[in-house]
Amino acid sequence: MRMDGLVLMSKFIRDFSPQRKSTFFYVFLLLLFLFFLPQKSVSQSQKNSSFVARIFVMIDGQESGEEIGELIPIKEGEPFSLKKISQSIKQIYTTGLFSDVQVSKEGDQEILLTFHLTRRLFIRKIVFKGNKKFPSKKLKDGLLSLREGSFFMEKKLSRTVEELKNALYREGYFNPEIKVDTKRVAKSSSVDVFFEIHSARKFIIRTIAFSGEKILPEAELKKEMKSKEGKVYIPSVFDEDITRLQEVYDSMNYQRAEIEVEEKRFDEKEECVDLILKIIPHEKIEIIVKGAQVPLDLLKPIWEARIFEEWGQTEGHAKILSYMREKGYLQCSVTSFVEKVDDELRVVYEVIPREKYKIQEISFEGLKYFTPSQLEKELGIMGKTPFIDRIDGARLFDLPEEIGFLYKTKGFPNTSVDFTFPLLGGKRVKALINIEEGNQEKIQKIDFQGVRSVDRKTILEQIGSFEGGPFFQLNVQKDIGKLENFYLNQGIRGTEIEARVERTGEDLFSVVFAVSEGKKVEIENIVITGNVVTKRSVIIRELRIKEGDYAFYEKIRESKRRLENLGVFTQVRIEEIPLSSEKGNLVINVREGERNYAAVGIGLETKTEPQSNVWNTAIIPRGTAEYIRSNILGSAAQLSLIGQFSLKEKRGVISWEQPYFFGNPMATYLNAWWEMEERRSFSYERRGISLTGIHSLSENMMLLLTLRWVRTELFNLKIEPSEVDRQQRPFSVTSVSGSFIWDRRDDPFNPAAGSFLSFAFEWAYPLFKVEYYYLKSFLKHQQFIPVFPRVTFSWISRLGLGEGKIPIHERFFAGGSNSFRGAEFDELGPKDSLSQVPVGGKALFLLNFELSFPLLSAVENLSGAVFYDKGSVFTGVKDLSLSQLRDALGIGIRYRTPLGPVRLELGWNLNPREEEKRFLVFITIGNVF
Amino acid sequence: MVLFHFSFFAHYSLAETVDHIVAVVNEKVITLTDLRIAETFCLYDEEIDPGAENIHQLFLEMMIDQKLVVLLAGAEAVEKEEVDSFQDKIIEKMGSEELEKKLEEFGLDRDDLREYIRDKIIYQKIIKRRFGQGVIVSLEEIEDFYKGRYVPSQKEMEVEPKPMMEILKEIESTIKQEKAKSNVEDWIKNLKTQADILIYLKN
Repeated sequence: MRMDGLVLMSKFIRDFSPQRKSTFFYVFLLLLFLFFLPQKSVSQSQKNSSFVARIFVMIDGQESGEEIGELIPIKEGEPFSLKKISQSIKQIYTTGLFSDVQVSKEGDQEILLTFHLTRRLFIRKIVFKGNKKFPSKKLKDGLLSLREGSFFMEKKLSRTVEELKNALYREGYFNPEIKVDTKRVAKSSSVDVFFEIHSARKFIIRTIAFSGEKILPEAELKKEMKSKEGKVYIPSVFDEDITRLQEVYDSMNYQRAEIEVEEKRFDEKEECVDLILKIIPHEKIEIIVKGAQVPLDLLKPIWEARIFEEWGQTEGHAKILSYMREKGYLQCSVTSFVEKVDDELRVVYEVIPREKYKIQEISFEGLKYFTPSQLEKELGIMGKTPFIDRIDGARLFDLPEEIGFLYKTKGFPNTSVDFTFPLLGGKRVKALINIEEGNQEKIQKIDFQGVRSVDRKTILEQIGSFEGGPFFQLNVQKDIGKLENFYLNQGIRGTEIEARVERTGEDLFSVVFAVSEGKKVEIENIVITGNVVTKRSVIIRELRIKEGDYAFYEKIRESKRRLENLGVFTQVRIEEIPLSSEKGNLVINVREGERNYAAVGIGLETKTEPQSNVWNTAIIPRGTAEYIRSNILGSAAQLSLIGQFSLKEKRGVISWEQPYFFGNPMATYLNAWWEMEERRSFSYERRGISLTGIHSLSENMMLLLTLRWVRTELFNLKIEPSEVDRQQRPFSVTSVSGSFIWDRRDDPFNPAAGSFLSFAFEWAYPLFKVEYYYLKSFLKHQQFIPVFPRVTFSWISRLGLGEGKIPIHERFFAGGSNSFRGAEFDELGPKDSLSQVPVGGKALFLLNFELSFPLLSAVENLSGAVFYDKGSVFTGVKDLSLSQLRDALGIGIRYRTPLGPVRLELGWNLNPREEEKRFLVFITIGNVF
Repeated sequence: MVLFHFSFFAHYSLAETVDHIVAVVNEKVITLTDLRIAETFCLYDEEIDPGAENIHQLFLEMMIDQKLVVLLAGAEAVEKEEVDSFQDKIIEKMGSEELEKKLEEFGLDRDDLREYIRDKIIYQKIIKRRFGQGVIVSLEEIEDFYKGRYVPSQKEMEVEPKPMMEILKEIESTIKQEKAKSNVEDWIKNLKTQADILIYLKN
């Protein structure tokens, strides 16, 4: 610009007279002086008073919303500072949302600052093109720098190409040409990466040869290998072949054999390769165990590598002793020696097993701090159970160390433990464990230095140690962790805690926690990013922390959990970005998941009776189609459509699910269904609609409320309506039901402790042309009490009461493996006088008692049970009578699975009626309860 | 009009990049401002020849190495006096007035500068702890150095080489320094293989 001015000036001067030129020259010099002087002085004053007039934020070239601006600690009106700009860049990068940050300015005094951010993208999918035979999964597994779901960095692409070349090499593709391309996915922060692979060469194995001392003939070695002469050379397969050959030599007792590739000779012209493997068998190692049957697999791994022989022998002794003691050879002893004969290393273990015993009892001597039952509980030793060993020998010999450590945690540093085995008779012994507890070290005083934000009582409650309590250094370390968590949960950051321990007397210590308290951090801004579809209000609603709150760590974690539980995000990250020692921003970054799910299934179903024509054929094709659309309108609501169809039945269900109901935290489900089924002697059509709300009162307590309307009609009737299955009988109901559930079981599928309480009611009212009206209630209570380790006593009580006109399928039924094990399914209670088909009742009372115990100590999931069931179903509430209750006893075997036990039970009806069976067998999956 | 035009033109400036990321080391950012601070306040004068070519590149590599070592190789305690002493050297080199001026340009105060100095001292201490001792120089190496480097260099300068025994200690010291430097380079090279380093190239 200045050059333009000077050119103009020169042109202007050219037209003047010499005198005027000379005068003008001096004026020109003066003007130049004035031109530069204000520039310099203005620059200096500008530097003194330049400030940030406006801040712009551009993300990927587009102006961003206000939320990102909140990440920048510089405010409009502040003095311009490079230091603050540098800090801002670092803070913005720390959010993890952006891969690059640049800052530009315009103006000298009133500065316009622009932050140019490049959004960090993540990889949606990686696609390999070029040859359909490329094993995509293996290639993806070989990529470490780029993975689906991880962040995309362009700078890593060259590294990825190298990794891909390695992965292709391992699959037998040599010297490929790889082009990589990326494509941004519209309206999202993701990118697809495409690798185009060309010109990858393959080599055929021409020969496989072996050098060194093979031991085995070459033909036999080649037979073990998957790589063959004449086939394509695949390095990963060849590596597996080497491992396989290693195993072959291992099985021949050459555990130390070395097998490696000596040479690979590539013939580029013929596209062939000659492979040479070198074999060094080293010495053969033979392990011999005399005097007892000990599996050699226990000892082989010890001698695979070169080790000091003494160490190998000692390790072998320990393994053999543990094995033998577990079998009951409590007084077993082992010696060993090593012989070297030619190329063979022979390790001989000589075992003297002595007598085999069963440990029938355990008792302790010398206890003062613990009672015997307390110590047993701490050690997890079973109480007395018939036919079951309380403890095996191997565990018994580990006990001294366990007991010693247990006592250390209680402040006893010098406990000594030994044991003897007095005979009880026959092969039964008692393990008599003698404990010399020794002195107990205690904490005389606990002090806190530097604690200003809370009182002493509160801070003492946070730690496990207490004055007068046991002293153990590890406990003090744990207390430091607890205090650190406490401060985090108070919103305080930057706290440093050290513990100083001093001996104050004999077995007495003082512990001083020196706390350098940080500062309470206030959340200035909450920035939400990554939500393309989900509404900001939906995310804010789940937060348990807001702007202006202190950074309570537990609330931040709770917020993260609630967002994850919405079910619409594949990832939720919450990061604290410090702005100063007392203020910070919370950055919430979410990654939305796929919103559409569709599935189609085809199957076959069979009828119970074979039919002669296609329409009534024994095997009928069946189809299912399902579509789920989640996060509708960004509100975390979900719509699902399910259809099932076959020649004989059709079913359709529409469901709407949302996490809130008119702003209230109540998961709400709206379902509408229609089904039609043709059976041999009748057909039915059913329609229904229901609205259910679930409100969690606490972690294990919830309320459910359901409004329901159902209508069923029969057609094509070839039998009397009363003969129709009760589930398909015609009925129409409009009802409202509610449930309260309080579940404190330790495991809902395999409970061993805790309780379960539920109360449900249903009120059916004759609305919308329905004929039934009734009021029903059902109370259920379960209790599980661990009596001994793996021995549980449990009971369940159920009471059901109903009034009004109740359709048959809504009445109470009992009988079978899940209610009363002295009667067949539904057979307990009133029956139709003519047909003897169960008709259910309006009152039910059931009690089930059960004791479960382990059957074999070696098989942890197998247990036995004895049970007693009592109860009945009554026609009406007035008919309920305790004297009319029926009884059943029984035994069972269970095998625990992750979804509940598989049960085999034998029930004995103690008071069978006419035509009722006395003994019944049940096989069931799941608990009674 | 023309003057006004000049004046108008005199005050007009285009947008200019004032700061950006130059490198990221294990998710820790080094900005252009950090680099300029290191250059301006002579933080690496001992390690980098001010007249070297590609001095900015050398400063960047130095800062990356420093960040890497401090991040991966653990903590070191730094005394206040050590930082004071280094800062005094900077003041002596630059002059107090010039120092304040430069600090103001960057929007820094002396405490901010101390943070940069601390990092450098931590780096030096870690290197010294790991490689300061235990470097052994053999007689053979001294002889090789004497014959292969010292004597030829002296002859090139047309100076009579001193006897080996006379300069034994100097030769030993030089070899030790070179060995230590080579060990440090190898170690840092190894650290780099474990680290995630991104260098942002800008025009």
